[in-house]
Amino acid sequence: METTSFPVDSVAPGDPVVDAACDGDRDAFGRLAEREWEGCARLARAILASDLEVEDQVQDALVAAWRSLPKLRDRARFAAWLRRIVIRRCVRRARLSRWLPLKRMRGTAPSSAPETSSLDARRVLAGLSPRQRAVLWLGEFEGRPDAEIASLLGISASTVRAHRRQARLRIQERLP
Amino acid sequence: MKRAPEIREADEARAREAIASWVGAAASRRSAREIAERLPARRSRGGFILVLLAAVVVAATLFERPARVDAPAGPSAERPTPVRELTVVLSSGTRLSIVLSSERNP
Repeated sequence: METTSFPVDSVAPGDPVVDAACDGDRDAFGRLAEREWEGCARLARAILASDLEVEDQVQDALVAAWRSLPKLRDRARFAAWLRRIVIRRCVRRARLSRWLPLKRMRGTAPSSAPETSSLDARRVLAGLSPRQRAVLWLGEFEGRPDAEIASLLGISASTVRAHRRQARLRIQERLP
Repeated sequence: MKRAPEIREADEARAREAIASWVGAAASRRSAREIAERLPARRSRGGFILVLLAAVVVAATLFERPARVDAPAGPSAERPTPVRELTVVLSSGTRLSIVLSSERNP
């Protein structure tokens, strides 16, 4: 089966831009965030299973990251640390959206992305829990090992495997 | 409905392709300048400590009570005189003491 993969972790260890951002350089943080934006936006979209609020959630995660950057111990792990913040925010938001509808993103129609497949990906993803979506995206599309996914989500590797199994079953149930 | 393994695999591949193309299309971009402009001012710990220190000094000044010393026996023995003493030690070792009192000692 062919696997579509997306590039991840564009920050190299010992990156001077990370060091500058940690020391309070706003422009350096901007450059860093620009590099990470695309990956974080994809991750957010997969977890939210929606076009709405993707940019808002990523921007909010970046603001949270900027505020707690002085507390970052391992600067070489900046990308993983940022992703953890994005995941936490998006999972929380997706859970909340069961009761509170996602607000419409500024100036963007809900279905702005082109549908390149006959299958409705949003419908398939909507059948999964936010954590299952995160596990599916990080493992199947970003190609991350279970241990890393577990660390990113703050759960055990066995829970990651259980989420993946459940996600696959639910996807199969939802397929026409 | 139970599906045959090969159909299940084909279905999974189809779902995978659909998800990849839909999520992958989210690749919105935002420039470094745009991101930097939206960042709030970072609260510095030094500033916070300074503000806290200033608040402690102000509170101490407001609630400070003058030290009381027992006055020598005499007409004013019943009413001790409030005294404040400020001592400054110069680098040469000289001690300068200023006694501030709200009342004049007899």
